[in-house]
Amino acid sequence: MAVVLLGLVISPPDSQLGETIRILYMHVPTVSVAYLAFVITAVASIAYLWKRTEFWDLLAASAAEIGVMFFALTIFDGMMWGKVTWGVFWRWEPRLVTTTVLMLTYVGYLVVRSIPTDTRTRGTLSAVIGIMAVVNILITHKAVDWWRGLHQGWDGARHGRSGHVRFAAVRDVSVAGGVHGALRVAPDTPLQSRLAGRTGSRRGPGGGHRRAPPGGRRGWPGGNYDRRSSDLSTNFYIGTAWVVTLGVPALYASWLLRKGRELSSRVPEEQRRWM
Amino acid sequence: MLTEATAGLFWTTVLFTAVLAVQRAYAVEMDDGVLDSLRLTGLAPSAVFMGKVGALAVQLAVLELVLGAGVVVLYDARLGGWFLLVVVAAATTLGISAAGAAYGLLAARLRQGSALLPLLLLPLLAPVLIAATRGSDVALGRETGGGWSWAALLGVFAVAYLGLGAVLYGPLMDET
Repeated sequence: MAVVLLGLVISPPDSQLGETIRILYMHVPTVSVAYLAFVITAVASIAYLWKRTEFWDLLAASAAEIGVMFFALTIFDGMMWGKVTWGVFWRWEPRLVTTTVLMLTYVGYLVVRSIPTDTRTRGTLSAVIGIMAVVNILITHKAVDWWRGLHQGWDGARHGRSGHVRFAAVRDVSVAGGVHGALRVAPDTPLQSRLAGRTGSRRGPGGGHRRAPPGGRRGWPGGNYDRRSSDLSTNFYIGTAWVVTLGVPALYASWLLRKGRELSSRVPEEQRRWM
Repeated sequence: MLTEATAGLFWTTVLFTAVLAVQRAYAVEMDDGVLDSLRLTGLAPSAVFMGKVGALAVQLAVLELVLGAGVVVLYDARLGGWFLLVVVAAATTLGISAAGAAYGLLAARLRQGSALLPLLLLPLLAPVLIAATRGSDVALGRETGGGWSWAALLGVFAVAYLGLGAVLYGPLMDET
């Protein structure tokens, strides 16, 4: 609730992006979580091929599932922002395309995991994808600089806001990492994953959705948005972005909790050791 | 219009052909149990991988030569930056072959592998396709500057996929 108040009510509009900065309060943390999740997938996949313990396989799969969900939310938030700023939901520009392609790579990872086969084969095949795909994260992240599309870059540090921007970056990643780590080591979650073949978060990354530093980014490509306007349609897109970004992880978490309870009730206590 | 999209059309054709070549390469081997025989020879998996990459790369290189001749004749392409073009083509071919060789075996291990291969491989290689197109555009004189940056990026891709493929091919071969 505090996050919602801070992001939607207390924080002032940005000097350049106006009210649309509130969408970016969602957009940046979600992509941070997604990147972090994909890196965790790669690291856990390496560990699985090395150690061959089920824990690493499940960790990789859980992180990939969470990563895909947050990447989809990132794209959704970006579309809401694009509608207000560019006038359209979607442009075929490099960052959007590479982001979608990266998400499809991990959708492929989840598809491979969903194919019925023995645990070891599934773990090995998906681990290979998890490791190979991580190369594309750099491409997606650097697409803005290399291809100079409409999507603005990470230029806060070049315009005298380095302190705020770095603080926000460290905070977002720390919160995302903390939430993610807590979810993964929570006692019930691995049991769910062992039984259901998948895991996920019990809560969304609400802690990461906080106020971004005041002040906009120069050099953004403009479009048809009047930065002083705060009309109904702008507020509609901001509201939609917030509701979906907070609502989807909450629904996902509640589904996992329900499924976890249901599965736990079927397994005797002595069989719940999994590591 | 088509002339402006020359490089894109060229590399898209190569990429789609590569998917077919990879599928065919593993379909033949899996049916005849060639892979199991290779394991019994005691060859290092990375050596088998490099052999597979080499075979795919040769097929793609031949295709690129034929397609390249067609591009020169039909699309009025000027090969002013031929050296850059050769480097871009070599790096792209290696990158596609390496990723294809690894993912081909991966898909061959699954029952729905032939249907899954494009879904897995094309998103992975989309950045390679973009970089190859941009690098080729510079080499063909349709775009200015930055050609060697694209070649370097493609080189990084090729090295990364070759390295990862060589390391990961062992676990993939061990799966029965």
